[in-house]
Amino acid sequence: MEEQQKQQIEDILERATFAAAIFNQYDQQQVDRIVKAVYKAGLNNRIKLARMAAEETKMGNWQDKVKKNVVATQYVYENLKNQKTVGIISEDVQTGIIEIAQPIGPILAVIPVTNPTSTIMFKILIALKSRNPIIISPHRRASKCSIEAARICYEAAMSADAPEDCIQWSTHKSREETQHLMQHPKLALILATGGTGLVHEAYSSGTPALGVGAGNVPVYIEKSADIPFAVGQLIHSKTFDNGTICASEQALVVEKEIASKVKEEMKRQGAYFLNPEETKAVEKVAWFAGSKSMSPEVVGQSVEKIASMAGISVPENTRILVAPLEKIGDDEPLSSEILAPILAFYEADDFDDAIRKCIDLNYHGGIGHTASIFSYDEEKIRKFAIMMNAGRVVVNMPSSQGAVGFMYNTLEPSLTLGCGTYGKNITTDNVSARHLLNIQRITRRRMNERMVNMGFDLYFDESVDADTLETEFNKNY
Amino acid sequence: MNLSIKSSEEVIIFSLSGRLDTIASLELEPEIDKGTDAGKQMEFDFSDVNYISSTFLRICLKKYKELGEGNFWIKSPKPDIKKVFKIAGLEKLVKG
Repeated sequence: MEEQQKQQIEDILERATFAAAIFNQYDQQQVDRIVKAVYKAGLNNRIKLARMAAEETKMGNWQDKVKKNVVATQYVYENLKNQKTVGIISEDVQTGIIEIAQPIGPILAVIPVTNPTSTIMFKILIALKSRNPIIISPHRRASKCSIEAARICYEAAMSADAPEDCIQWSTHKSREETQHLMQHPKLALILATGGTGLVHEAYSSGTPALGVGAGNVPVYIEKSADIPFAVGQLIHSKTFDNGTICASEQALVVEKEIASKVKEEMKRQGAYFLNPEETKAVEKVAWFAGSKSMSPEVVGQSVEKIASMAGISVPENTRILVAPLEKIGDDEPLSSEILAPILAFYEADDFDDAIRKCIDLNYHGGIGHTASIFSYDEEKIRKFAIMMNAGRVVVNMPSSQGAVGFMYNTLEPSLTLGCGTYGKNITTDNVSARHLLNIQRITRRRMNERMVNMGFDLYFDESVDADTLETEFNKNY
Repeated sequence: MNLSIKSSEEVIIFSLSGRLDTIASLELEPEIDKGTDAGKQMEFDFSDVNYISSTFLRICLKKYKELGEGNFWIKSPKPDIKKVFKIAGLEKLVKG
């Protein structure tokens, strides 16, 4: 890396450090005024930014990107607006604990190509709400719309007297430069949303990171489900922005008993079931055998485009392509995550077999992310959830929108969905402003009654074992 | 922001009070430059300053690089302001 590029990175971090220092002087009211101004600017530009993103990335459609921008601004703001994020945020006389929120410092936000403008506005809002400066690192295939989103937010922030350089953005950086940026000692945290490789690099940088994992969301329509409703919700979710959301359903599992009913309903609602030859043709365009990953060429593309790429003809008004499969794993490419309106379909013998298949799907590249079930049988819902390794198990709702939160449930609205340790993340939460704070605790003297009553004498007697100590410790308690 | 300047043979003392925001910092910069040109040390009495902007931090950094350690310092900042210098990595400039 040349000196000039190194200096550029130094300058970015120096400005961010100064912004962090200045932000430290702001009170809650000032912060909230900035967040409000930024959310409004983002919301006012929702259509322009959605159109720019769709045009530049050639993924998804602008109408759904408008909705994503609404989630990232209005819904995120509604969730954040009453949260305390500055100074003393809670006080409990009983426990003697007072919590103080402190900013964490400069954040590097890595932005995916699939949701560029929405992810940027979301990350900016949660960073500003927690008084942290943010550096946006756009995806090279979405740099124009990303920079415009960041610029709009920065202008609005400055109009509300935010610290200078509280939002910065970098033009495309080489892998080496990004690594240098990630490893910079002045950087406090990386908010990494993107492919597995990039998230891994963030975690390996030595800087604390909040990353995401890949999804491979199984959806189980259990036999007690309202089938027309479940199918409608599933298709609504799978077609959203042509399937670019990593929480979108990837494989449907149904019991044989209701399989034909589900299939009929799916066909009625615009699903096209591929025959084995057509499945192979779609597989060829959707999958890179070499890297064992989905082809970027199909990500966020419409059914018509994918059908034409695969050289197959599908009826007009087809909304999703469905591949009936039997195997799960590397031998069956379409059992993996494909961020496009392509859905795998499995028939299970019974409930246990359905769960087994969902476990296989969940562990095949989607561990820790999201799982979905349609059912009215509480016991089965819980069994399914316990068997899954997923930060979110969504019930009777579209998975894409459900996992993102706020619209269909009370999860926090987020475009950064933690996948837990199995997904190589530190949290399973929907990441939000509260994750960007260092919480300090003032603790007042509250003597532990049992410890005081028991004293320490018994601990010095070697003949006293753990059982006795436990009994004595809890005596009369 | 209020400013008073006292100059001795070796040191110029800038006594400031109130908010040292971007505009105030930019207004102050020429006065600091004058001190630099005169080859004098500069002390900034910060005991009554309650807000500083990143523009002032940038001026500090520039002067620090130009004049080196010990020739340009901030005296008696309030704790909140001392913390700002600490976070900014400019704690070397703070005395007291």
